[in-house]
Amino acid sequence: MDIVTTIKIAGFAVILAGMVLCLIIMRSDYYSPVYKRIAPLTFLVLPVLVIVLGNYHVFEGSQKVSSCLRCHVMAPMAMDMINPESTTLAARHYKNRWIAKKQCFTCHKDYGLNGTIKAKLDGFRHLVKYSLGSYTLPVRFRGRFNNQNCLECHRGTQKFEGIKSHHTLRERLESNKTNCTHCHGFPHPNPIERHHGEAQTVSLK
Amino acid sequence: MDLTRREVLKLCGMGALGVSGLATLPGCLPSNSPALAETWHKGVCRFCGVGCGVMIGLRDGKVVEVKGDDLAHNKAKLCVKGSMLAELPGLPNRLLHPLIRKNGKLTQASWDEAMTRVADAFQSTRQKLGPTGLAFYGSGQLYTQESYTANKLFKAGLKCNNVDGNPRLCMASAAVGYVQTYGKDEPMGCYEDIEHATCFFLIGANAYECHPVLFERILLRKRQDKRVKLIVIDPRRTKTAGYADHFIQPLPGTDLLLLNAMIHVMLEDGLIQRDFIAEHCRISGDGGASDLAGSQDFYADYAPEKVAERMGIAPSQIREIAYLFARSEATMSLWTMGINQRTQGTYLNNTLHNLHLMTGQICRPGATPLSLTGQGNACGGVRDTGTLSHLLPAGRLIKKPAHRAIVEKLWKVAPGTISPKPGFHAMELFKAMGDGRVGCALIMASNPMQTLPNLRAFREKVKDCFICVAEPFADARTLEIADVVLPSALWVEKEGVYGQTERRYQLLEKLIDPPGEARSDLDILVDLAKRLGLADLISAQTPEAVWDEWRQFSATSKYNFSGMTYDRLRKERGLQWPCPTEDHPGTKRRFVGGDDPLVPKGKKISFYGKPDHKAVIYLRPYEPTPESRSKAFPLFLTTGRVLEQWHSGTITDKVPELSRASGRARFEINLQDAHRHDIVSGQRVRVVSAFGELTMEAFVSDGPKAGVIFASFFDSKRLINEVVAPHFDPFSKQPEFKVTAVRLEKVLA
Repeated sequence: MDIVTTIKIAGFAVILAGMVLCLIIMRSDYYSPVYKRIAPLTFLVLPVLVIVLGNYHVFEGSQKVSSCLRCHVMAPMAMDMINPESTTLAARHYKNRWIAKKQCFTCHKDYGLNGTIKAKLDGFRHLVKYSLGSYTLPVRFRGRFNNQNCLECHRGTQKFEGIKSHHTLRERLESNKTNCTHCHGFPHPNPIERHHGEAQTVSLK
Repeated sequence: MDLTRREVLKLCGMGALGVSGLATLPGCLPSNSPALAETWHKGVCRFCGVGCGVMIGLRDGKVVEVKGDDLAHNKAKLCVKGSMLAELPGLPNRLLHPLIRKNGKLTQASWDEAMTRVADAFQSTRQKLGPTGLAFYGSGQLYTQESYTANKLFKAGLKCNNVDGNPRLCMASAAVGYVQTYGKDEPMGCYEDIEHATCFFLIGANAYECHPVLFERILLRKRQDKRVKLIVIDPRRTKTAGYADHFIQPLPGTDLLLLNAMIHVMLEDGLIQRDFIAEHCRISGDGGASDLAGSQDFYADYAPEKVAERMGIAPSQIREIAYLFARSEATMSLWTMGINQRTQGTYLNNTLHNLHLMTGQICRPGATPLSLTGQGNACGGVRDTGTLSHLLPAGRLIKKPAHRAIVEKLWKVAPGTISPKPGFHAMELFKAMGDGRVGCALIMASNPMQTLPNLRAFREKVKDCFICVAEPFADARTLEIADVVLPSALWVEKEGVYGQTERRYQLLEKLIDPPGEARSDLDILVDLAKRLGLADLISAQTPEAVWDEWRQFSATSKYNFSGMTYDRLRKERGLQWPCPTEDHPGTKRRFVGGDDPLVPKGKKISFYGKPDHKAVIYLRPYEPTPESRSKAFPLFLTTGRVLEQWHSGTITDKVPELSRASGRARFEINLQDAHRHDIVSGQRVRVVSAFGELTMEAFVSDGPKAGVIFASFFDSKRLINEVVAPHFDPFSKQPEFKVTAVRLEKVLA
């Protein structure tokens, strides 16, 4: 059983426990010793536990490709990635299992539980914009891609180290001054090539 | 503060709403890590003929970042040179002021002083030697407007056809090959053909290093479809060859034998498309052969078993690739300097076209002969505008009276203004500058004192000629022979159009000011025209005005791109000609009905460059190169480029990341030859030809075929072209950089 499912079950168990305890409290007298013992657990410990588990579930769950596919703004990127005919960098990494799981997350590690506060704020901004529909298509990446997401896997490999300019550009690559995408292109289809491909989206969900 | 439970809930809700609302306003919550650039502008890479689209990021009026343009044909990919474009405006050693040679030294001068000196030299030389005493040597790196204006100024204004340039050294054979076979220059195919091809035939092209973005596209195609085959022909086991399914390594100078032997196999085994040939082709042999039977006789001498040994390969290899070429669903040929820089360059180009025409591997998606271009604007800027000594704009020829008459009318000059005699081609031009036939020359955006073959002979002799060089950098070797040096603007410091391999014209807008007093080459030409009293002729004096004049000029020709207005070029990621109207989307595949607007209605294919609309299959015999191996010179030297350096390295060698990656120029020597000469890597060796010698380090590898030495020409301190032979193709006049007989000597410390 993977960690997301475990947390999901644990979360449901805590919620169920909370509901049972609420029921007990409702039927008990305010001044009874049972109320005094159960109330802090029901109104403080369990809610905090639910919040922690819930958030952890969201963070962990959002690392799955299926989670990215649920947002129709991201769907064209994910759709392209799972398309075996596509030759984009993302699709080749997916098709060849160069990244075996959590394919979106592996290259976009700015989010997740270990991500920075800024990444959380970014995520919140995206969530709000998506929920309110206050964005315009085509969505374009405005920031700087973090080369570490590539270098973590490629650094030290024979193929990477065999390219002389990777050595002379190392400082620029490590500091993101020159992006990997500057030479190797964007990993996803450009705005003209993006499409949703509903059938495959559904099958992946 | 007393709050009810309801009020607490209301406040929480309003707070959440407030934060959410703020988050939707730009800048209220941080976006992803901020980019360096404030604004982004589309442009084109400064370097090779692939013509990659780039996005140029500016901050405080400076170029701070460059990345690939995801909407351009290169889909955001760049090679390592392109990825360093942002460094260009800040490179050291820029020329900031005009210089005049006084007492043997170049000293700072004002623009007026320098231009007066140049104009005086032009006037006095014209009086002394006549119009043929003047010359212009341009470049495939000038913008189209600049080449067009120079051509007009010299041919119509000064009545001088000595207009040539560095494209003569790299693309002339390809251009003449296209013209001879199809009647019009420039490839009929496009980059998109790569996605449709099932067989790639790369001959004389190290695309991995010289056209990396296109080569990656080929590799992607191969990865996408396992049936796709890559055939590579090269005397050197290049990085390109490392990806080949079939790699053939013939001796330098013998590959016309290979191409003819492939046709022999095709004829013998019934691999040719007789119907296609009958409908769309005409056969022309030197001995009068004009049909397939005659062809069969001609190619009988090229049976693989007869010629393979001379190439140092096996006959079975020839048969194998002949089948692959002919039977593939769609075969795409790509070639560059290995074919063009040859004394049989035109014949080789003709024969490559023969392979496509005889097998019907043409004018279909993926089936096309696509000549890769060396420089960023050799196609659009020089070949299309006719800025060569035998040409007039839009494919017209100086020697044809009707063509001269049309151009004279369009340029609004008196009939008879344009001289009927073609000018000196590059090799003859520098010879003429040395022997006094040419007394005054303007050189722009080119570095011939590093790139011409048999360099030492030219450099010593041209010193008596008055030479003005317009150049961005103070350390270009050509400045050594200059009497006046004019600082010129570089890349986005000026505005113009670049036209790349697949007939795509792309606009580069001016984004920053040039340093010091540097000016655009167009401004220099306009200034010169004024000083020579030709301001009326050169009335279009801005990039947009020149473009409009040239665009309207093209409407009278098969190059018609009159629909490419400046406004469209500002918006689009380039357009491919023919493009005759402002609502035409451009032409991906030329000569193909339904795509090319110039193909007559109802025709599927029409080679309309020829009067009978038929391409010509020229039967071209192999002749050995003038450089034969002997006891004195038992090896062959071949030259080329490396991934990280662009041409003579004037720009790229100043970028530390590129310079360190390429290292210094060196001799690549085959293991066997190294063993015979007792040479190891890193040792200093001397390579000597009948024309010169050069000493530098050896690099021993299994790259070059045994008997072949390779060296690159980017290093301004190690001039390999001093060793290279000056022979050239009799039709295209392109020099044979690829084959020089040499000997190898160990240098004792």
